[in-house]
Amino acid sequence: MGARGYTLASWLVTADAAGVAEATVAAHAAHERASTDVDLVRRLRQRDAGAFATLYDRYAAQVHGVARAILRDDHLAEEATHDVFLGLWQQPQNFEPARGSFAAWLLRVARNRAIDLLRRRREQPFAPPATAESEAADPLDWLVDPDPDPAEQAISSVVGQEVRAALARLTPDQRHLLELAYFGGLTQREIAAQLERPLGTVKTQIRTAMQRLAALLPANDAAAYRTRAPEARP
Amino acid sequence: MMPPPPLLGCAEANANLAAYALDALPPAERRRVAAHLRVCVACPLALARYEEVIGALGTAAVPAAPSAALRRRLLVEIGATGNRAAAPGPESAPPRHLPTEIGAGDPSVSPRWRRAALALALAAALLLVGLGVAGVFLHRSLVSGGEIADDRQEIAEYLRNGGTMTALIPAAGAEGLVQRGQGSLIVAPNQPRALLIVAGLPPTDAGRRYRVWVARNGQRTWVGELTVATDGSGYLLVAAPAPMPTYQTLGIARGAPGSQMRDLLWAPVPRSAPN
Repeated sequence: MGARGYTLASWLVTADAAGVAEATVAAHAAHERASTDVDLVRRLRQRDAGAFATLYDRYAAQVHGVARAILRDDHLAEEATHDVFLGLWQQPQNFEPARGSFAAWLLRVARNRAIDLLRRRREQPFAPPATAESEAADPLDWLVDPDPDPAEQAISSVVGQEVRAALARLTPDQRHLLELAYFGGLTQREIAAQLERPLGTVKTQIRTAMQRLAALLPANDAAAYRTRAPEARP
Repeated sequence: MMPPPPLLGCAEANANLAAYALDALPPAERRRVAAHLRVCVACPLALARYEEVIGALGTAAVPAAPSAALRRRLLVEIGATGNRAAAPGPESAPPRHLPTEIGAGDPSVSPRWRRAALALALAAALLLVGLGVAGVFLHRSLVSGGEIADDRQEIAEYLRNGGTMTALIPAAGAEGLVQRGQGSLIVAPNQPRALLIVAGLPPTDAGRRYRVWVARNGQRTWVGELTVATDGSGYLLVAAPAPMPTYQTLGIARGAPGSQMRDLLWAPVPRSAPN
């Protein structure tokens, strides 16, 4: 058998032996869950696949949620999620702990990747029509509920509570502008055209909305997200 | 030649930082802000705050777990079966297709593992019978096709050599599309091309085409079209532009001509794939 290859026999052997190994790694997995993001990223630089799996389990749902909210297509969202985590594996040094939390950085990367895909799809001259699924979906279903009732809040999870609360304190117009820019991937010019407002007005309104949101969110809010127990995350 | 526009001052750059962080500026304006950020001390700090807010905004999106297949695919792509094994996901059994070292001479391999290896060697023999069935299937498919008769010799070589067979698995979100479809990727030491065989797929017709891709580092290359016969079977001898071991995955996508292709089945390319 080659060093990394596998023959028909080893293929089957692997299948069963992996089941045996499951118990062996269970204790190791418990240790992994207790590791901080920064520790795990440090181990990624040493090509530690276990650290990668732990980070994936910790953030895949959040990354995929962002991509899904932007792309409104599960298939494309999975591609975006795939690209984000493969990029993390290939270039973990892109995350600089001094510039903020890992969670905030990763979700920003996820958003950027999803926006890239969204814009590329828009630019396709013969882009296929939206699937029945995405046509039927109300965009608001994929976005933030700025005013969730207590039951929904309990169901959804504690993640992002501060952000939702901050969004709820923006004006409906400010929320709409941020939704168009953040989830819609529209440039200021495109937003101005869509809302039939002067470009200068839109620039000012977006800046004001972002400043207001920054003032409402405690600094390093995402760092607080990082320190929560992983079990509390979806 | 037009002289480059003058550098932005802090006030102007600052006015655009929120849009810059949101990637909502047109390219020319974005470049000007970026140029200012390279020489300014204060504005990068303000940008960091906006970036933090944008990262936090992501937590407001409704979390949605991706398919279990995505985790498996990523772990295969990063070669997670090296020295430090990745923890098994909570969502599924370990993937059957992962190329993994279970070295007989490795002292870290427990006797229990070795017993499993011995027991399953018998099962491997049964699988070889299955490979023989594949040969019969291919023989039946090919005897009548003069155009593809030249491939017979090559395919026969794969089967004679035993080869390395990897089962294809449904792509994320394609479980419903695949239904009874299955396939295998076969490579053999002395064969320059990989062999892809499928069964149980809806036949190729005017509105349904199957295309095959290979990928490395997230970049795909289309390498051919797979024709599925009316009995649901098909094959393709895959000739990629670069040596096969340099690719991480191979997959089949389906779609109507001129429309977007959707991934159907995929498999990791074994590291021992032919050069």
